[in-house]
Amino acid sequence: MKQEHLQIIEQSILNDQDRLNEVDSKQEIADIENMLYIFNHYETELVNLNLELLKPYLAEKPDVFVTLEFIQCLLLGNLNNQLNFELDEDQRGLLVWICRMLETKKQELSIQPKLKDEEKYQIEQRLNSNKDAYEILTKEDNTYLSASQINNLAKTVSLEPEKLYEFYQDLIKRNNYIYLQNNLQEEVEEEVIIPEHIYSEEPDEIVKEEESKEELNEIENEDNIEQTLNAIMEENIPVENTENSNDEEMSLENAENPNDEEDIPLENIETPNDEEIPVENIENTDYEEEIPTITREINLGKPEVNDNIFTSNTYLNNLKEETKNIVIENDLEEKVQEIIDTLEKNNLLERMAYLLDDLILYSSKQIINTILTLAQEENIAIKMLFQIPSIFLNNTSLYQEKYIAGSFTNFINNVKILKENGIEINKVAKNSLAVLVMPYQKLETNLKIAKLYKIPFTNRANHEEYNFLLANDLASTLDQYIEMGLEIYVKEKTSRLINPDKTMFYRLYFANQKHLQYICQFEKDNSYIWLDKEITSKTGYGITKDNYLEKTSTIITPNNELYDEVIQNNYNDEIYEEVLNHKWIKLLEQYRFNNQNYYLINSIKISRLKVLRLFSTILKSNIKTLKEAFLYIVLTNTVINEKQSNTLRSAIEEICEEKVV
Amino acid sequence: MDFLKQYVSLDVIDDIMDYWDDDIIFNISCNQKNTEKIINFFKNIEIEVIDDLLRQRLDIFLLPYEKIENAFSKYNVKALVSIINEDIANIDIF
Repeated sequence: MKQEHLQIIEQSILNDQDRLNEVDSKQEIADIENMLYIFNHYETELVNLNLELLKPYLAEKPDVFVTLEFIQCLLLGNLNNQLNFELDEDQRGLLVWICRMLETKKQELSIQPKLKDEEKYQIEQRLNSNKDAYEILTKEDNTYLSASQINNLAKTVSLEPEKLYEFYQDLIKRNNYIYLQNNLQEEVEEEVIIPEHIYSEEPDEIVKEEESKEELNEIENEDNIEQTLNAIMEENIPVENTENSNDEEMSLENAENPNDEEDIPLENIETPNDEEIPVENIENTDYEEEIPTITREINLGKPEVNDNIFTSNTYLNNLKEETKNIVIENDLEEKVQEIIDTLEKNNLLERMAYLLDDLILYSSKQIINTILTLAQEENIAIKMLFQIPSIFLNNTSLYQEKYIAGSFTNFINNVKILKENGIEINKVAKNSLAVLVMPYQKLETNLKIAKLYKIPFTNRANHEEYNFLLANDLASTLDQYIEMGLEIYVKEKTSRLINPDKTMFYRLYFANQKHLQYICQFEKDNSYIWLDKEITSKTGYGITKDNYLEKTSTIITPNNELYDEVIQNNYNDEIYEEVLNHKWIKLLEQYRFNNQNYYLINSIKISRLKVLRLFSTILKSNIKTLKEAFLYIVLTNTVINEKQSNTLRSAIEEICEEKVV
Repeated sequence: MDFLKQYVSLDVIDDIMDYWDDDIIFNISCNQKNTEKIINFFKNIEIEVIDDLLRQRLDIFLLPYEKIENAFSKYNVKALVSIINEDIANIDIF
């Protein structure tokens, strides 16, 4: 998809305008319409594709379909498998692009799209005028409807409960709807949609009591439902949250970890066989197909528990009852045995036993083998893998109020990204384990920023540091250090870039204004520097998060919703040639101090790369009020007082009016 | 992260949950005993900025306890702790 098309789509998304007028080719229109169709139907979900945002979302919107599988597939470039669209690489790329943009647009786009209401209305109209609702429901594209909406529609036309149940089953099978299953369980159970006796724990007794032909037929229906369940499982319905998960606040349950700290030498790890997932194929993988599926939410009554598999092994016997039930209900005995065998074969069972419930539900022998092979190839000590057990888990989910953050995808992608950037994985694993499980999109962006700002991975003491890659908002933090005159310090102490206390920059400003000494160094080694406690303490110089503006007489630089939004919706990690050649930038470059990374305008330092990065984003976004935007960029994120702000404004206005020679 | 309540205030735990990715928080909670050992070790050697370390350097607590202990043993612990208490960036010795 060409750049101009991306811009057209972006505009249409942002402004909800007629979006296709500017495109000539019919095929291109069709392509874009496909994209917009996807967007319009899934925007609410896409907004939440950032898994960090999933928790509050689930709590607040229990009846909205969060098609997690869909979101993951979208991110993984496998959308065509889900929606039967023949997407080419450009289209997939576009979807990823849309997703990334949406990550930061959650507030605005959490509103239900109009299209959904219109289509819902159309469906309702058709349902009201036609008695055979089931036929329509199954033939129409209802993928945007919530379970409660479907249920209400069904009530409107008095759809038979059994028909509705079948419809739900069919919809689950076709669409992998995660939360439909939740709703299905609630609604089927609460509203007794399915005749009670079908779900009796003692069907034999019912047969004895009611021996009519009709009842026998209903018992036969039970077999059909079971068959349907099996069919659903074959369709890879993902592991789901337990009941009531939407209503409960999620919390991390503290998993117990055995004391065993002994490392297991790599030599003892058997080389996994061909059952692993080839790493080269895990670029935005479809490994999920390897994972047996679980339909926990469709509760058809308590199954007869087969204790054999659990009593045969102490670790399995210690599994949670809930896990045992899921295993039984979903015929996962074979998978359980495979996982146990794989762990045992590699001497990992005892060490990983505490995580066995999660491994059974959210991992597979293929995943375990893949991780072990990769660890061996990259010379990562197994002991270090135990510190990040999430890499053995695939799904991110809720299970018994515990939030499971599976990092298999992140780990695989992070290894690939780091290697592509010439970074040795075992060095990262040695000192910066967390980098291996961080969201891989963030790693990609931060590596770009690291290159742009020339952050070294090795410090003065020849000590390799990769931890700064974990930083949130790395570029902005770097800009602030540069503007405070601490570029050398922060490039030596790169870990300072991770989640800094923002009020620290106000203490630095205060110290600079008052000409206070805050750089510390050893007498014998004055090249080793650090910051004084007055700067790093949360109450240094009496400046706290509650009084930092008044204590420093600084102002919050004016914000602008439009520019804020454009900046927030982009990674801002590139500098375009067009920007470097822009007349204003050429004039601003005259202020560049001594070839440093900042402009010095009337003694105020402004990060050069901040201006170049953000101006690239602004130019790309087709904002009309460029002059205002330029001023916004220079001022944004800079700690200044009102007088300094006015000085900067005047200087920038002169540049924009080309008064600067 | 409930286990941290005995070591730090709820504000610190809230900040940790805000700043850090779920993947890292999950792994910390899986390795609770390791994290507790590190916190206790830091307390014993009189590191005063454990709150800041948890907020800003949670990644350190993912490292095996023995690695941390071993790294400190190579230095003059008192001197090192003194400058860590001034600037947590000085903790990068692992």
